Amino acid sequence: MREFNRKAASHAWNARPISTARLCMELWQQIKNHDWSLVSDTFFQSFWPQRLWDFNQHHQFMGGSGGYGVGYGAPAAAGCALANRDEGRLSVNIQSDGDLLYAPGILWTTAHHDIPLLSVIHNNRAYHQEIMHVQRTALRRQRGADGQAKIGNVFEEPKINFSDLAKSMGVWAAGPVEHPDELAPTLERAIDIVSQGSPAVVDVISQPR
Amino acid sequence: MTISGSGGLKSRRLLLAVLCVMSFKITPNELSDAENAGQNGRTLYIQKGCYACHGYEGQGGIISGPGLAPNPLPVDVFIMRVRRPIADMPAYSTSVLKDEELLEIYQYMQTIPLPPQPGILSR
Repeated sequence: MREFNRKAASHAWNARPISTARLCMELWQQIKNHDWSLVSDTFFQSFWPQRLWDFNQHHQFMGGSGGYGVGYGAPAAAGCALANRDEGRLSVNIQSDGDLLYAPGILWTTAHHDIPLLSVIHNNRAYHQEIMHVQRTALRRQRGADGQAKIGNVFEEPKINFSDLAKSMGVWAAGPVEHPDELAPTLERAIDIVSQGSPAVVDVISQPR
Repeated sequence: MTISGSGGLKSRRLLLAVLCVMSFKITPNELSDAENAGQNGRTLYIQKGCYACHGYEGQGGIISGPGLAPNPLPVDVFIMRVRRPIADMPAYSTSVLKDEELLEIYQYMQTIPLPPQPGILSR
């Protein structure tokens, strides 16, 4: 099974936007020798962490909202990171960009309270959740999927710079990372910051899922 | 092969185009044409929204849609699946995605190679 997943992850390995498999595997390389805890859900990253990482401690995965909480991810990750802080544990949040737009002020909260949290933004420049539903409706009515399906789903014009957003709230941030080879050194720098007790954000321009 | 929204003449034209694609072999002189077709296909692939579920490189995803490349389905099956999908995918009729456009997308799928296994994934 692991071999099947590794083979699947190699597809689009060097792609730009960066594949979610590459994002997760580069992240794994940087955290695997730490006492780490994944404090975000993995549904929107096609479950790559479960498919590629080694989970062997109960605290290594915090799960999702239990329902379909919209905007739940970022505040939940901050809460988990606060709980992990006293354990000296590295909290890792693979943060959906659309989810972060619901409550971006949580970035300020992590800076204000010195909550060590690494947030890697899965920036596909979209909410994306309803896109196929809108495509289906547009196609059924013979309107075509060009453009119309993006309404309410995509935020490309203008593009959001999550690195600048985080910096404006006092959080160390890097990116947008557009080339997959830039991921490893950028994540390494961000983990150094988090290890010193502060939050860090790495904005990664990524594939949709 | 039944193609929704097309008459007999249209179907014959499409079949001819399909046969052309099936016998598509790249010679050095045709390389730039093939590259152009692949580039046009990529543009259409993004414009028509295919990337949203199947990824920009056709790699697919276990929650969104199956992988389309490398090694795409035979062209006739590929066309049938787009016109009359079998799962959640919405159907693309000829009025919103012309046969020629669909074949260009298919050509893009054909240009996507299988990458070597990265060392990081072998550890």
